[in-house]
Amino acid sequence: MMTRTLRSAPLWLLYAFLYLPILVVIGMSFNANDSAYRWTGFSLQWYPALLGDAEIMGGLRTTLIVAVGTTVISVVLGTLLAMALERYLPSRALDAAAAAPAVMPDIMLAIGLLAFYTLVGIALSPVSVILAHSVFGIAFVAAVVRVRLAGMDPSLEEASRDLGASSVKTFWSVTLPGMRPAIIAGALLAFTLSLDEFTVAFFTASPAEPTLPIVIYSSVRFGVTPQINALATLLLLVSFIAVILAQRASRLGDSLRREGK
Amino acid sequence: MGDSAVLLRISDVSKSFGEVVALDDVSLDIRENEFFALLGPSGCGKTTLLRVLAGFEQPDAGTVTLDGSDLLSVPPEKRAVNLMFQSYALFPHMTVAKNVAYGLVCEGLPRAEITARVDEVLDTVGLSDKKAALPKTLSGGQRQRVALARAIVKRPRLLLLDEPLSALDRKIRGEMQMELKRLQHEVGITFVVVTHDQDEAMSLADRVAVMDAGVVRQLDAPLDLYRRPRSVFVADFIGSSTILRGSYLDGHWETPGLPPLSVPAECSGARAIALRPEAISLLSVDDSRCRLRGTVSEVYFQGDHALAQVDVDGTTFLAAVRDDVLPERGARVGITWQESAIIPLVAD
Repeated sequence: MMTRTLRSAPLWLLYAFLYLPILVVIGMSFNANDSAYRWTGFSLQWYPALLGDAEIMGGLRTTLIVAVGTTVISVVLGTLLAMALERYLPSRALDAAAAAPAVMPDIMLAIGLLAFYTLVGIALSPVSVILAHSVFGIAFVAAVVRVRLAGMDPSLEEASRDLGASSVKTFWSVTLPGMRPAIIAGALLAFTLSLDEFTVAFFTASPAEPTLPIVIYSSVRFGVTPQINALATLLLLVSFIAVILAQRASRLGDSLRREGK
Repeated sequence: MGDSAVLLRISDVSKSFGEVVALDDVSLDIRENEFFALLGPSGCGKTTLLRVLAGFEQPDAGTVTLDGSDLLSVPPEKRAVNLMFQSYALFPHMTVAKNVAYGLVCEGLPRAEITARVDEVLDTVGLSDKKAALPKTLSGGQRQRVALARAIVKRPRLLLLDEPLSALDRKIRGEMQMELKRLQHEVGITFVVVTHDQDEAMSLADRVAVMDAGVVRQLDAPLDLYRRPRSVFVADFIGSSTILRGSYLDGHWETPGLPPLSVPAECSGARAIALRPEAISLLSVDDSRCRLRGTVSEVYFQGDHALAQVDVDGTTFLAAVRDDVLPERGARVGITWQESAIIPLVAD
């Protein structure tokens, strides 16, 4: 028992390294004092205070619009891209080109997009951020959905045709339900990625309508306040729930697939 | 059954995938209500032919008619042909009843009729108590019954079955084999089964087409296929036999390494001759009836009989032994056969 605890010690240290800073943020959000570094007592005051902050509320609104818009575009186009690559146009070059935006350095993407918007004459707004976030959102959704499609028995779709279903009916009653867990996972992934994305949003958002991470960044320049810690804690909560839901959705898919075979 | 009307006529159908010729000028007639088998090793083109009939492949040349009208121009969802997939392809997110009802829903039938027909067909395959079950909770045999029910509930003119028994355990295979035959009689649908398993084809089908390299090598009833194979390929593929290549000369068969063997005149012009194991009898080595003498090199126990390999100066003969006492390896024995049991093989 003792040796087992000792042997797993590095694991616990690793988790401490990953999560201690986050725990500090969560802890300090309940600080009674308005300093972000010195603990003086417990208080919930910073949470209601968030609601009264017009700048933060504005940022939250923009961020939610951007995240929802990004999710919708990413899910629709990402799923179609996954189907094209998996079923209709298998090609290594296209594969790589589809995955690249997911791993491309954000700063490069941000500068490129800004230059592109200026060139084409697209005004900066929540829409320009949605388009920018969709670049990597589509890549992530496509990657998740493809894995699922690759594991699906292609004769399911043929069976549907054979039994008298048109290709449209086959898509809605066989292909789409088969992809559903991956689509849900991909949607949650795109939503969370967009929610806290800073670099690309910083370059492509309108100065009049900044997203929440930009608002946080600007206020932190004058010192971290417990109010920001409270906001960060709430964002963390949303991201965490989304990740857990995404995990559950894809695990559900895995088990369905395994047992279906 | 021999005089039944032609249901499906395949004429001069060819199909290539790049360099690979999958079907080479195939012509076949399949009769109404028969149980037909396409038998051959993997890559012989049987699956391609099945997919042509189902509508998932278009041949490069040739025509296919069903009930006298062109089938190839009809898309798969409109054909009166259904396919039971090798993987069964049950929809994993639908219950057994929903799976079976799927094809009827696509036809737009009234709900009451769908329910009645689904109930009836699930009763036929013995799965009435599994209506609400998901496919993943069923055993392999049960899944197959669902796949079968889903196809026959559409009342197709022709039911295609792709390697129907290959995914089942040996024990269940036997049961399903009988079940398939019973169902075929009961529902009165023409069945075409594709298989690489000769036992499956021989025990199920009324007629078997043996395919090799995209060509139908022989089309016959199972018994004729076994007793009268016409080519070395068919004799070798179906059952086991001793095949002697050589040439006919004056009522004798000349094979390198053996003395001339007396054969019937019908062997003139043959490429090889074949003897089934049950046609060859073992004798004691000093018996005067021996045609040849050799050494037992191997004995395979088969249950109701045994197969003995007899080596005669480098040529191996296969003899079926039904005696209580099996020959021992290394024993000197004599062999003989009825001349009328010799099968001439006219082609490779």
